[in-house]
Amino acid sequence: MAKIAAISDNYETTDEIEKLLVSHSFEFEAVTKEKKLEEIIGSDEADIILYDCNSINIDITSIIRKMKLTLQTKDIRSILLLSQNNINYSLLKYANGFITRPFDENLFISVINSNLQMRNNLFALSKNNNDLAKSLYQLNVLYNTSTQLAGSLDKAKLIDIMTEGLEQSLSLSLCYALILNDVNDVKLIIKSLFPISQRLENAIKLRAFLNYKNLFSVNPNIEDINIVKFSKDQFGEYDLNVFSYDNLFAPINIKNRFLGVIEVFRENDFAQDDTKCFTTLVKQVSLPLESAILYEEIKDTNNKLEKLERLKSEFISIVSHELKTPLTSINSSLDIILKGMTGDINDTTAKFLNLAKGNTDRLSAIILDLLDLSKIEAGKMEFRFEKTNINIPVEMVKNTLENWAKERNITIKTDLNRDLDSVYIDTQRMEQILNNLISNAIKFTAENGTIEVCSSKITAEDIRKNEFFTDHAENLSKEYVQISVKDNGIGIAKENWHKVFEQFKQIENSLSRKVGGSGLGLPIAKRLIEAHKGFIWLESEINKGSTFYIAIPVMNDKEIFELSLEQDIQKAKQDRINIALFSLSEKVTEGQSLIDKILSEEIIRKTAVFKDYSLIKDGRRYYYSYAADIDSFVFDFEVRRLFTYIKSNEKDYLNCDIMYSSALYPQDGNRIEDLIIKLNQFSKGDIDEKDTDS
Amino acid sequence: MKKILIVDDEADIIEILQFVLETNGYKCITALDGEEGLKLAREAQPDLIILDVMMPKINGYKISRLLKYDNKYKNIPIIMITARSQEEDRIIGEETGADEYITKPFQVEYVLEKVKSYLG
Repeated sequence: MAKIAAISDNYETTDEIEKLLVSHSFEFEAVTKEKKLEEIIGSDEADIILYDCNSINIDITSIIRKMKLTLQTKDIRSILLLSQNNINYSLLKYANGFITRPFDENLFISVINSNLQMRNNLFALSKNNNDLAKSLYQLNVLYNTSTQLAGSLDKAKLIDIMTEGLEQSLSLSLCYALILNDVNDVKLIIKSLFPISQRLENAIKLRAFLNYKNLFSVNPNIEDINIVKFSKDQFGEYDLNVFSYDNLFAPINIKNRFLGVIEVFRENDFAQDDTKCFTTLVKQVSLPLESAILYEEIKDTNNKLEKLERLKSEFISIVSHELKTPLTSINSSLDIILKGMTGDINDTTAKFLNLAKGNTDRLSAIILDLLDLSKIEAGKMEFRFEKTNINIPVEMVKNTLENWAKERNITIKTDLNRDLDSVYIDTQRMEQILNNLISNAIKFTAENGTIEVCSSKITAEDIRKNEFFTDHAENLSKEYVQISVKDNGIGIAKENWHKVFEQFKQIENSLSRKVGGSGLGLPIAKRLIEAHKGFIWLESEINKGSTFYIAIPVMNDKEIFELSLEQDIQKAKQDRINIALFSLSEKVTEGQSLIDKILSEEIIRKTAVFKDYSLIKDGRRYYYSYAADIDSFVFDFEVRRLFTYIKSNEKDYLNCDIMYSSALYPQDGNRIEDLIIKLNQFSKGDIDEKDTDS
Repeated sequence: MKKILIVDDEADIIEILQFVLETNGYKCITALDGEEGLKLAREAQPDLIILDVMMPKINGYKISRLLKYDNKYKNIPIIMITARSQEEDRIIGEETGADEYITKPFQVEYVLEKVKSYLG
């Protein structure tokens, strides 16, 4: 019911109005005394106030001004009661309307009604407006929050962003989130407007714990809950009465996993929009949280893998040193005795010593093979590629093995194509591969047999047509150089053709034991060939013999460059080198694509490319700001003078290696390789001298 | 008689090398760690040094580098013995200036052959 007040010092007037209004069911209050005046000023109880301008004892002007300037009362409609001969125009600007005496009942009531109507409309409008502003604000917070959420992979930070967003959009009194990372890692984050009492803290802990327990199957220990508290203000204190505030509650869950619970409290009740905003925000956090959890898991797995890899490397190095050294002693001692250096030995002694010697040789071979294989698998095998004619290693290996073949009355025939293109190979590794193939051939060929070694040219088409390969490789080079090693030994059954290249899957175990060897020769050869981007395969017929083939791509300079770059990058990645690159750009235009490539692979963490000398002073700045997290600095030859100066004069900045390199202009493919090799050495700390540019 | 310094932390290896070299007419002095080895190399003026890489106190690379960068000793041939693979050592070795690399497990005749090629 609308309430109307009248301010007047004339009882006749107030009585007349009261009669009029009450008969139309309005609530009426007459304000005549000073005390009541003070009550009505500053309260928004009345919908309409009638001001009697004829009042002599009341300062209507100041009252109406005060009412209009006060926030709570400014929307109260004010209507002046005027006499026809006494119109106060200065007051009219504060009023919403006026009624002149004598009061006509119909006119009076209609003015009251229309003002009431107006007040209701305005009230509704301003409420809508407020709601709109609030929604807009909440939306804005939501948007900001979700943007922030998308940018983080840190769980704690995500929760923090979420609670922050909730606080901003809902102006909360208190909010807590219980987050379970792990049964042993439970965190309770409490954010409040005022600091909270110890009692309340304990109560929240218990409440969160119980809420959590009700929802999830995992039971964290309440003692293990780690509490993190924030309060906006330093003064004041919340106690248990917070629990009587309006509250909203939600689980934070991701798919089927529950991560935690969140509950918010506010002194003012939550509206429906607030609830919506709350659930939206809580939902918003779940996706990034999922990513964060996955990210953490991946990081964790990665760390474990890295640790394993390290352990493996350590193991390998222990094996290499600890096994090789005693083996050397045994082998050398046997040698000394067998060579007769310690005096004559009889035939039986010699026979058994030879047996021992043969087996230590075999053990050595196995250890070396195992080391090779694990190195290849860990990607730690070092290669020294160069352009070479493949006939050179072929002849080299043939010469070393010829004596052994002769002992067994086996002839090694060669048919080498003298017109072959150079290939990009590591000669030493190629010798190892060929040595494996030809020794195998010797081992498996009966006495008086023949081994044929041929080199020839083949094309990509030949490889594609080859039935040995079930899945066809892409990115084949146009041409290949092929080496074949043919024996007339026992042969390999077709179902075993692929197996011979798999490690620890020896076929014909008994035979392999008889002829010695680790059984790892072919698997190693296959891996080494793959590192050359080549192919290895075989053809064989039982009791007739086998032919092993290898094919190495003939590459042009560009392909060689790309391959070497790929290998270098792989290597640098493995060694986790952080490099800063400083260079004068006009000098590196040739290598720009290379630098881009290296940059894209994130080996080089920081780069500064200078257009001209005048910008080099910026280089100093870069240098100083980067020095902390860089392992190696690479300076272009042209910039070196400046940095030599820095190096010799400002030693405090130098905790990292510095090298200068002309390798930043890789006109030919090898230079960048040299650069990376040197960088690797730096990172291993094997070299003291920093300046390797020579 | 030519004098050879053998530096290795493995007494067995020293004994074997010493036996083979002395049987072939060389005089040997030995050291069981890098520090002692470096001291002997500087004081005893050997004609050739056989140096193990992995040793306590001062490793073989460091000794080699210290000697090869010093005009007084740079002409003494150094044969490095290592349990690492040739490839790794070839790269590091080029920087340390050693003349020859022999990887474990080695053959005694091979070591002898190398020594003969430097000392005759």
